[in-house]
Amino acid sequence: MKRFVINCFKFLGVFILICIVSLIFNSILINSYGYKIEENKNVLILGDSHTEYAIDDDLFKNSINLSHSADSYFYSYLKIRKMKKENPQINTLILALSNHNLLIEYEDRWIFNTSHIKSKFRIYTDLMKLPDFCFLFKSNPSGVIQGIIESPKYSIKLLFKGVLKERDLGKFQASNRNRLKEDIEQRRKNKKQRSLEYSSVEKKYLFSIIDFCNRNNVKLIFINTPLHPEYTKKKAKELQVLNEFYNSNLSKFKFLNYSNFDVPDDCYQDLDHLNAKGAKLFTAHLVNEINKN
Amino acid sequence: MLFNSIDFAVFLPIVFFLYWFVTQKNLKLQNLLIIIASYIFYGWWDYKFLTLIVFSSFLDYSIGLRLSNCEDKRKRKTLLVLSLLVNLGFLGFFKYYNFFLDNFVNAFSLFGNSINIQGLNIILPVGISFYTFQTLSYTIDVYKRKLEPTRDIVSFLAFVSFFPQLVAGPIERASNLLPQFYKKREFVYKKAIDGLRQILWGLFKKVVVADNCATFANQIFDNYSENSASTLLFGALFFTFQIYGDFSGYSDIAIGTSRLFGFNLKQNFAFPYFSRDIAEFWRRWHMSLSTWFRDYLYIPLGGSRGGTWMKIRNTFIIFIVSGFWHGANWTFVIWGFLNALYFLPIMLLNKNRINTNNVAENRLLPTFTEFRQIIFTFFLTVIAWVFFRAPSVTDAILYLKGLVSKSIFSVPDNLNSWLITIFFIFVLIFTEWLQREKQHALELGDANKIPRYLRWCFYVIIFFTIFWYGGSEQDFIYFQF
Repeated sequence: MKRFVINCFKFLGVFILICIVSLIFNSILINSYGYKIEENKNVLILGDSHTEYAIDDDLFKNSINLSHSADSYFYSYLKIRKMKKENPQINTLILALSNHNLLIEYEDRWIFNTSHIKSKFRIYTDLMKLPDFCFLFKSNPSGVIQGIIESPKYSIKLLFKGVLKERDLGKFQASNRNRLKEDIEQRRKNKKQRSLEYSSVEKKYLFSIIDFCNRNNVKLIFINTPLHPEYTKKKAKELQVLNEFYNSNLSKFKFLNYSNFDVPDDCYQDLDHLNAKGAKLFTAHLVNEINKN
Repeated sequence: MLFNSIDFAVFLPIVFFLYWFVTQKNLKLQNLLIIIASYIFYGWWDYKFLTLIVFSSFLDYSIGLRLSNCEDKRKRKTLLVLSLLVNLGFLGFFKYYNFFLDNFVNAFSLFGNSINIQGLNIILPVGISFYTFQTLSYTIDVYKRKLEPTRDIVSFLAFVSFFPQLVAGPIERASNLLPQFYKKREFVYKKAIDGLRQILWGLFKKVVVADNCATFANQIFDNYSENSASTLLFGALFFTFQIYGDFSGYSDIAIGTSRLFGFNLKQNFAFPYFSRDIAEFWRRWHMSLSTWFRDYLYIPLGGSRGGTWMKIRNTFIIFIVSGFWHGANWTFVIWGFLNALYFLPIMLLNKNRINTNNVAENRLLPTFTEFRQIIFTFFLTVIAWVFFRAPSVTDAILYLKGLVSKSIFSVPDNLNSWLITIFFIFVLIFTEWLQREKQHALELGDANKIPRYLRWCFYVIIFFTIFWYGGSEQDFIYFQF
């Protein structure tokens, strides 16, 4: 029995050791590439798939878009903290603020969900400090453990596919997908209304970003990217709640609310995401607006 | 509780520790621990249905005792019938009530009379088909005086509810499992380590192969009318490996877990997809159910002792009942019927026992004839599985019809997204082919000659693969049976 127990622990030990070694290895490898961006880039764009698909940073010359699908404010906070530290020239943060970002439903989907943590953990491990790690671990230990177990697989990918390709902090995605009609159809069928309650966790990290920007002289601009009229009609209540929240909590910051921005149908990939054509059109307008001010 | 869940990963070491370190010195206490652990294991899903298991256990225990004290043939028969009625009654009510009701209503409507009877919203208790057959085997064996009835209620309750095989088998005979509860179990290092290896392989089959295949099989079967013939072929193949990985994976985990506790369960799958004919397939697939039907249905019906018509009748009965056992749907009946049809020619030609050894024994590769036979048998089973998987007989026929098209030669659109799963299927086939003469794919034999560190590397890789490539957590298919 003693031999059995020892061998079981040895096996688990090997397993845990591989995970820890690869976590450290990943961190060293990623850090060796650093987070430096070009000196002339002083505008950082963060957020979820809305900004990821809408703002083409090739057209917005002094900016870098690190938005990533399903990024909550927790992950955006980690990113601005690290990027500002490594790139002191960053003086403006454009942050996605849409009707869904603060909803309680997204707290579970974008922060606490196991498969979400599993996929995000490896990307953001290097940006986390102990309290961030503890926060995630307390929220979903199983998700974090699964995320740690993924790290050797990530090491293999980093080695074979290259760090820059695999370190997916986010970037502008030019999409040629076209499922607007299906999406309209689907949303018409779906009569379910989401709860309008806001997540305290998402609010906490949104205010952490605000606090960080204030302390580090970073100008914060909120942005809501163009939404299809069918979407705004359907989500009118959510957009109203967002406006109320902005007016009572964030009004001292600029809010570029383009939810009603007029974009032809062929510029959308679905009801709330622009495609490559839409991104080109929208970014050109956005750059003009920002330059005007 | 699912074997492929965190809950079970916590539950198993706790029970293992209590079993070997706290209750080891007292057999009764150890058996009691098994009962408690088994009831927790089962109650994790729905504690209300525990009453069914407890009731069935007490009923069969007392009927067993009464049978031992009774010499009157009529009384003995009455006791047996009582056990059959109650156990099969539960099974029939929970599993087949709505099926019979629907068919009754449909049959009436054929004659122009429509009757309006609402079906009941019945939840099927997990594993009811398995533990019902297990307790029935006890009563029938005692009735036939093949087995001494037990007077040890704790052992009997533990036998019926033994958690590793409670919800999806293997269906153990009382004559094999029950006596193991009477004797003190010794911890044998080699047996326990081998059990862990079997659990590891079972998890690989379930989580990596079956769950990934399930995702694709579900997509294809749910939209079969929109898919090309080549995609439908892949769909049928994915389901073929899903059901194998799922069910044999469960059996491996069950047998491996039992070995950790010092028990020996019978092998339930012996690499069935390497069979050279359908008779061999059925000797290797879900062996505990096949032998159950053989001993308690086929032989009492006369088996193959009568004339040709008797043989044919009994063959069809056993296959159709076996199909019906799987579920209350005509698709399962057709699946059983189809297998009987496959079996019929080789039985009539008296060729059903020609392939009783292992394929390519003492050789690495099969001969061309063996290979051809394996592929043909595999093809037959794939066709039959379409009926097993499809929601209705019409869907199954349309699915098979969709396979007969020029587009069978086209490259499926989603082939790229399937590649990793196809790779794991090949890993499964390759490993099991190499180990086909063993009880399970990771059993050591010649592999013992492989250096320990290399074997450990292999196990660690499988362990990581389970975490990395595990499909979305799915229930075991056989839970619904």
